[in-house]
Amino acid sequence: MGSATWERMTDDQETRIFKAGLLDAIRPLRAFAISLAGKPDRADDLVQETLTKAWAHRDSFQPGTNLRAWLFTILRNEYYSQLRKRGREIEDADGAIAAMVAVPPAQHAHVDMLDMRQALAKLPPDQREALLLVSASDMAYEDAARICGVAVGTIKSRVNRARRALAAMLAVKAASEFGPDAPSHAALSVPGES
Amino acid sequence: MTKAPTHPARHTPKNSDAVGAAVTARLKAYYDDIARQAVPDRFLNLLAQLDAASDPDGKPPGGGGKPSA
Repeated sequence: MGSATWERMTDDQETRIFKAGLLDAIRPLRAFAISLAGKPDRADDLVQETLTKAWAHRDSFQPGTNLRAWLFTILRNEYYSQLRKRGREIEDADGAIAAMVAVPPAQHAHVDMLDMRQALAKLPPDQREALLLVSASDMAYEDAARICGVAVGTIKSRVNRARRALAAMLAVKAASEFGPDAPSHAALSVPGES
Repeated sequence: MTKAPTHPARHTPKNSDAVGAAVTARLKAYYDDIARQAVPDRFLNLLAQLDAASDPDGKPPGGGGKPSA
């Protein structure tokens, strides 16, 4: 069953455009949901809920405005609404990694993905979502600010804080990711030397 | 005297842009990997079901047009 069954002769132009927009948005929504929630199962449930709500409220979407931002707002609201219902979510980074349906890349790249997922999970949610919207999804600051319901300046400072925190966690160096680092220094120093 | 090891990620102002760019590049690589995954059938099926559940004239059974909460 593909997208062909999703189109109808009787749909008006706006409905066809809306439907095409929903279809196109699934991958970006999934990427945002998986990175935000950290757990693929939870993320896919979020996307399911988002698509269902988007379709139910399609009459309230203003044609010509930013559908992507509208959908991300629905998903984000659903994420926090579920968090409130579940109480404080304990970030189970190890469990999430175990449950991860991995696209089997090269060994090195796989380790990179684990580190990034762990690091993202350790960020506070407001920093994580700002970073994902602006730096990962390439959303404009203004759109990200509207989605999160805060000022543009707040988004900017959250993105900067998130980037610094991520850099520290991933031990990202300015010059190269393969340069000398703390473990080498530790190996060189002799414990107990006075 | 024991020399303390240097911190792995010392962010001096002149380095911060390069560090930020490196972090963003890694984040984008991670994110794009996920975004490239095929769309699960469940979502294609869902869209088809939602569409079919609407009335032939395109209006949902419960009445649409209400603003999102």
